[in-house]
Amino acid sequence: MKKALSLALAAAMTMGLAACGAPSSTASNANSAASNNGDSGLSGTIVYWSMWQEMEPQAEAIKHAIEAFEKDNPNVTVEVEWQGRGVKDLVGPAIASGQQVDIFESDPNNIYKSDPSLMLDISDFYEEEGLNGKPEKENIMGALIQWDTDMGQKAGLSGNHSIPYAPYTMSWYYNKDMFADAGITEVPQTWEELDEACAKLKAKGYEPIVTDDAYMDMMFDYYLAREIGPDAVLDMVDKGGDAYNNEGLLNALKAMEDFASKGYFAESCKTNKYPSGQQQFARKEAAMYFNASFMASENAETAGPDFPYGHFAYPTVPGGVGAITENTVGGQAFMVGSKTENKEAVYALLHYLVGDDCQSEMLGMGLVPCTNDLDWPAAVQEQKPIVAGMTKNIDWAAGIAGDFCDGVLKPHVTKVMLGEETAQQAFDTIVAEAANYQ
Amino acid sequence: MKKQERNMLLKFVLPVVAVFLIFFVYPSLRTIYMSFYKMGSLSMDPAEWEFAGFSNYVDMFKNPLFVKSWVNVLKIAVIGGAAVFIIALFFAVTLSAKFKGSKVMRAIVYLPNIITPVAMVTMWNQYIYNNEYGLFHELFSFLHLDALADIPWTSSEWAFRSMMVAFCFGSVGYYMIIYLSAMEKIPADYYDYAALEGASKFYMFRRITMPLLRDTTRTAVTFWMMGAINFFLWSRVFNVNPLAPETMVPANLMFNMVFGGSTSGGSVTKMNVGGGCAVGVFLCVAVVVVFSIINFLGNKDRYEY
Repeated sequence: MKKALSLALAAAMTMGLAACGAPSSTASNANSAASNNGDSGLSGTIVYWSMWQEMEPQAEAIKHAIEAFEKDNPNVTVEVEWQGRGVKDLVGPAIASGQQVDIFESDPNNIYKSDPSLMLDISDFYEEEGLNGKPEKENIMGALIQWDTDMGQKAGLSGNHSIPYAPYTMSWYYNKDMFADAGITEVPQTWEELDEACAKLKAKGYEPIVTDDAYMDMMFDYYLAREIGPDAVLDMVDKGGDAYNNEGLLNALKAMEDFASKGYFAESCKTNKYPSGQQQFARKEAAMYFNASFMASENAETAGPDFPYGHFAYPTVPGGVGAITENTVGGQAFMVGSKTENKEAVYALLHYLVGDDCQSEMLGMGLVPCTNDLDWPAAVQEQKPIVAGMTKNIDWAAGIAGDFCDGVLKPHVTKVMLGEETAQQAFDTIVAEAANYQ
Repeated sequence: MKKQERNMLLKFVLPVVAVFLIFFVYPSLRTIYMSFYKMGSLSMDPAEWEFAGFSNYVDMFKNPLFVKSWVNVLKIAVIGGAAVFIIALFFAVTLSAKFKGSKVMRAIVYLPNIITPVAMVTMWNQYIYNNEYGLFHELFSFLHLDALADIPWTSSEWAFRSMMVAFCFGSVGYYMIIYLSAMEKIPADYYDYAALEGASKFYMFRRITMPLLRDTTRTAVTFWMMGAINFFLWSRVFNVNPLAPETMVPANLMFNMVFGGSTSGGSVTKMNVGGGCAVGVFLCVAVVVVFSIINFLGNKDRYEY
């Protein structure tokens, strides 16, 4: 018995060894194939740090693009490291210490704000022809290129430094059936119309608005951006202190207080932990949810293919300076390491990544493609015109972020929205605490 | 021979010392150094750092979040500590008796320790605390304890209590194991003798077990206090907003200042690495102070057995 066992173990080990040996032999085959038809003129190694884990669907699409690239450029080897989301923290020290990183992915805003010197100026990439023969600046959505330019300008740079992909925008998701049932024929364009729509929904017995802890403050953030304008919001957050003593802030809080007192926010908002609220929207327990494009794919399984998705942009607010065409576009981006020594091959690979094949594959997974020619996924189809008609980009959460906003401002906003505090109380506390905050 | 021995010792100790110097002493010193500067990001060229003197420390004490975060640490240390130690001791005493299933029970109580806090937090928030279909809601509704069933566990008002319940649940097993192993070392004769003299179980616990567990308790309290001061992961993941005042702790604030506080979407915050380093230095000092106090208090009257 023992002998049989040891025999089996030995056999298993040998097989393991054989398996270990296998890749190297195929690799050498590939190398010999490479030497046979290395006609693209490009060579060398590209080190690619991805923000995805190898098992994630996005990684799958990227892998296929790289395979296609390597097939056409047999003398170039792409070494992918599936770093995951931590890549934004790791890439800085890596490049600074001289490690080779040719392409990396992240939310570009992170890199622009933390260390834009990590990125190579790739303005000339947009001038180059893509795989379909058109210049990339015509292939990639204008709003995305504009977003990149804007981020660069805020960081004191000119030109372009990233190629955004898998974009998202923010919109009010609404349930078309409920709107129709409540007799709402046109989507709200002003805060008063939103108020009216909520009242009609409420009268019909629907919960007008639902949200989760993760997105609760978003409705307030955009209200403030509509009220005083997105630049003024950024300025307020940047300056801190007395800047919070602003009538616009009080008005935004009062608008939230008003909706809360009318019972427009579903009772469950108080206890919803992401993604409970999203699920309630998907289960048709509430009519509206203000969220980003990715909510549709997160909800896909619960909502099913026939969910009556509708979208409208954040309405204008009474007396506010912000236009309805000022919205958010964001996403991930491909960036080129500033110390790359193989720019030509890197650009060649990037053309594959934003090419139709890779982007269609991402579309198939429910992600939004970054090119003009492809449609958006059905559930967020109505978001495409919002992005196409954009006149100005608003930061994620209108830029209301940072230790003071997270630790003081947002908790009080939440309290007002849950009816636990009046707008005036919240405003007074925020102003008082801001004065002490360094 | 002696010299040879010393050489040998040196060779064995050297790698450990080198690792200690490189991975512990150097980063600590550098953190202290950095806490006197202002810098935009961790990877910034030191030539661009701006000397700030003690201003990072002054700002830190003025920061309302810093003060709130220490209040939370204090609550974790004292209230959480009391709960965990009482329950752990209770389980240790109960399960030190050998009965059928006691080993399985020990394993069950210890089990939460081997699960990563991230998974534990998801389980508690999504499956136990959920107000629509969570375990607590279902269980208390079934028992017609409506007041308990209606507790909004996941609301901000209850967030700290929810986090403490979940965290303590996970910690009890660890301290139970420490106490169990210490109890097994107490000679059985003491109890036999006390039993012959007619002592009650509780009397034995109070007069034999507790005094002989004093050293163990000191060690366990030290562990607990270190854990409370460096409390991080639970606070980081329990609340979607890691800086929500109810659950925020200093280590979390430090993380935000050093690495930026990007949450689910794309919000990016300005970093204050020097300020974060100051928080880190303060945490380190707090640990040393608490450690010294516990050692000072616990060093009297040692029993030997």
